[in-house]
Amino acid sequence: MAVYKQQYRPYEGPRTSPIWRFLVPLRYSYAKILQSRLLVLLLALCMFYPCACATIIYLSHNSPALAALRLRSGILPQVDGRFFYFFCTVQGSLAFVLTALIGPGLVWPDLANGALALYLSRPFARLEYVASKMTILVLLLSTITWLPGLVLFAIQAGCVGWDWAVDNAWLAGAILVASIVWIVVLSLIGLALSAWVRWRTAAGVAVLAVYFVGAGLGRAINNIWQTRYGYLIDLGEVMNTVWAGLFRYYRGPGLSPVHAWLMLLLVCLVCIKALASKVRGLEVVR
Amino acid sequence: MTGLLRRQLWGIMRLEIRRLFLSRMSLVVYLLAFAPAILLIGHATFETRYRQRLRSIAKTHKPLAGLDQVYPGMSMQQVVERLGRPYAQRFGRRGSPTVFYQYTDGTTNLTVVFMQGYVWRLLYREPTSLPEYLRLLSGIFNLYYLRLGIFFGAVWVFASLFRGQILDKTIHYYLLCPVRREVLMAGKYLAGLLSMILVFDLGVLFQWIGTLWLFDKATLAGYLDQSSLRQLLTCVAVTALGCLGYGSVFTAVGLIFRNPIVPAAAILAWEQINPFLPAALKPLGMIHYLQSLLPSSAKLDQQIPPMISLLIRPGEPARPTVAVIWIVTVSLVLLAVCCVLARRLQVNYATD
Amino acid sequence: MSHDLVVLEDVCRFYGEVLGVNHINLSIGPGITSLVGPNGSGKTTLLSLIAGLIRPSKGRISVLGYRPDQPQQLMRILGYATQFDSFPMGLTGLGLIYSLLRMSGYPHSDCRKMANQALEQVGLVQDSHRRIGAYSKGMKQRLKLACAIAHQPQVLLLDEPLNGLDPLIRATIIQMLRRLGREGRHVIISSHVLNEVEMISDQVVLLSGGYVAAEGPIHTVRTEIKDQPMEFLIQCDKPRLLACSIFQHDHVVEARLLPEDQGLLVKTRDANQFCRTICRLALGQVQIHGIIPTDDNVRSIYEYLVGNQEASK
Ligand SMILES: Nc1ncnc2c1ncn2[C@@H]1O[C@H](COP(=O)(O)OP(=O)(O)OP(=O)(O)O)[C@@H](O)[C@H]1O
Ligand SMILES: [Mg+2]
Repeated sequence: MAVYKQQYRPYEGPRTSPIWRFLVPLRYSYAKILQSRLLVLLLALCMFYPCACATIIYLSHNSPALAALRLRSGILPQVDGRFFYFFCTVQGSLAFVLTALIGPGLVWPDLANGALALYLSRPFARLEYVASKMTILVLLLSTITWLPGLVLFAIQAGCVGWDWAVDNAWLAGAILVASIVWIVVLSLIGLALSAWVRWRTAAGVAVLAVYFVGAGLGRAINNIWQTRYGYLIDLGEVMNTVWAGLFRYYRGPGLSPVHAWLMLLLVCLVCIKALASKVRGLEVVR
Repeated sequence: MTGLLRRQLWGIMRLEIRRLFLSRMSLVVYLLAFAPAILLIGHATFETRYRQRLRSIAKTHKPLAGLDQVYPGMSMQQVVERLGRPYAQRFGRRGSPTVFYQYTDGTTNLTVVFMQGYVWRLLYREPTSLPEYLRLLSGIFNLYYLRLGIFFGAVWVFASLFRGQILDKTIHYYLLCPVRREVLMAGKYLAGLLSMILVFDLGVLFQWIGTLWLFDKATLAGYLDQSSLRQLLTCVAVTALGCLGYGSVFTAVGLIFRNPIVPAAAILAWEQINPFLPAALKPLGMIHYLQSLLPSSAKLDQQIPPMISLLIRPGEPARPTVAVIWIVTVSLVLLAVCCVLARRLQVNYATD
Repeated sequence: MSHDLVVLEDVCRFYGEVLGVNHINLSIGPGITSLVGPNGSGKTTLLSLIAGLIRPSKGRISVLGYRPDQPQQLMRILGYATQFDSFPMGLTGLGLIYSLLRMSGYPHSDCRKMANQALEQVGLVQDSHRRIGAYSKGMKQRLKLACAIAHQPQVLLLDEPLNGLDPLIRATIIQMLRRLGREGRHVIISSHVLNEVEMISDQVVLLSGGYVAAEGPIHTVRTEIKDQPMEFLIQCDKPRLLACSIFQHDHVVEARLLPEDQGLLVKTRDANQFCRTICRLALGQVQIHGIIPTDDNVRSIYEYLVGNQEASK
């Protein structure tokens, strides 16, 4: 019989790679998010417009079907930059609504219940925490923006042919860039407000307010000062300008795309600053 | 009112006012309320400076004739013969053939744009008149202040009256005081209401001050007749009514819903699409009545796309008495509901 | 309804499907009463029910004749220190108590005085001007206590009041509670720290799985638990002899000699008969120095009642 001395033995099995560790909190978050019936309904609604677009593309290349429906072939919109610009605005607004619903619940519960300290007491840095929270939004919003956008592009390419796809490859790029920029801006705003607004009820409202009050004040500035720079604080207008630039669509006089890009950059920086100062394991009270 | 009740009400109100309006979070309310006033005051400062500058320039560079004596198509020489040398001269970007000449007669500023030596465009910048400013004010009030400022202010303040404290797990301190739940409700609501009215009415007043400041006594005396004074008073009253109405709505929302963002977004959407609703549905909301109390439903933006303006149905406004009675009644009903809900409120801070 | 009792009649409370407490019948008189029970046994639920923070699903509660749904009267005589460690934001310790007293309707000068008194009792005067957010756990605990006693209530509900307190403060607080109990107030404490419970409380209520498992003064509770043998420590000069003779009797189920002449541990099913037997033996050749009931305390009661239930689950 052998007698072993009892001693401490640390865990020696395999570990998640540190690069992908930030994905761990995701699954619980999705489980929680998808429990909400309202949200699932909204996600389903978000697929409505892409489906309609797909139908339009299909019909416009199918003259028998058009004839059967007694539609003239000119009545359907052309699939070009303008088409995808409108696709982006519609899906972008829905993405905004989703962010307002989900975003605020991402950070403050952790801050309020001291869960952040639990995360940070593991080999899990603040950056990874923010990245994991952001990934939640990014993945969710991706499914309603650029993924369906690229699918539409592929359908069109399939209907028209390879040449069209090659000629219009910039459109695919524009869909990708336009969506991703908007998603990043939205998720940063959602997280920053969730971390910064200490009244729990107000975080969601704050996301709405940033958008609508910004738009209203922007109009007021334009009218008082007789300029167009008021649009700079109108998030929707800024984003539309950027999109219009990307899709080479002229929307009439407004902001210059350069200013719009700079504004987006500024918004992102402010949000990152807010997150950096708020996402801490411990807050010092005077 | 008995002394005890008064003391209790005041006790609740002072704590709530402190929580809602003297904390860092209340900056948002101040921003919402005072942003237009700050813009207008800033504009007024800028505008007075600008006018002074024009006046002093006009002393040294007086144009030889009236500014309306030049026409498109004249040559540069003809313009200079008529008006004299400009007080400032600018060239277009990167060798483009445009040249800008600036003239002023002390009030109006004229920019003459030459294209290849000939007048291409005449840009007059005239001082905005008082009636125009008043129209701007009512536009800002209608489209920003009422629909967004007061709305979001009310959501911010009133939705967190109860729900905020439930989420913070602090409402039991209030419930453990020997106070009727109804009194607690009333105290909280009154604290929110009075401070909101104070803040937002001050906002209105500052907007007016910022605007009227630009004009001298004579102009003011000419225009500030009864009707514009009535406009101011209406704005003040409508602000108060808006706070009252939206306040009660969001107090109820904060008591009923676990996450007030969803109903708040729904109400926001409903109020925003009010102009597009058929006449039968319009009266179901606050904004319709608030708006019918305002003298003119001025538009801030003239450039609404024709498609949308087709959709807008003017619909006749409600009579003022009806509007006031409706708003007050709805608020009272909602507050009664809130009282019942507050009585039923239980504190176990379940899975929020 | 009695006017100096806290009475619960057949009170049930469910959280949806989950049982909070069930069929609680209690009447609690003046003095210190301890609620004891494992985690999740319904202590907090019971206290919240008494304070009216939650409503019973069934049954009636009366606190010295007041109903819990009349806070305007009940809260005048009731103070409750809850288990939540949260405080309204941005206030100082003094500010919080002062504001709560103002809310209760006391005039300014009284509020100041009462708030300071309460803070003094829990030894928090020094830190009373600091923000609560910066308090340590023990300080928060004491502040909650101060909030509960500030208006000098007749009924005091304390949910785990000694959690996180250091030994010195613990002693002062216990002393204060004892004083309050002696003054004839109803002090109801929920606690896990059994020897402290035993030290301070006049009565215990043992909760287990939402039911009252036992209730009353500690030793009466013990004697009423029939199926569990009682344990005595007998100190005498001839423990072996005593063991031999005592084993002759039916009611004795176990006798164990402790090492180094510490005595003899006897388990019996019938305390009265056991006493008679010992008397008879003491008149004989054995000289008995003392008899100590060893399991007449909360811990053993707790183990018998709760341990059994846990085991049978
Ligand atoms: N808000 C709630 N929602 C659902 N179930 C609850 C809630 N509060 C308590 N419970 C349940 O009621 C039962 C009693 O809980 P209670 O908090 O009264 O226990 P306790 O005796 O105070 O425990 P502890 O010693 O841990 O404080 C538990 O089973 C618990 O899960
Ligand atoms: Mg408990």
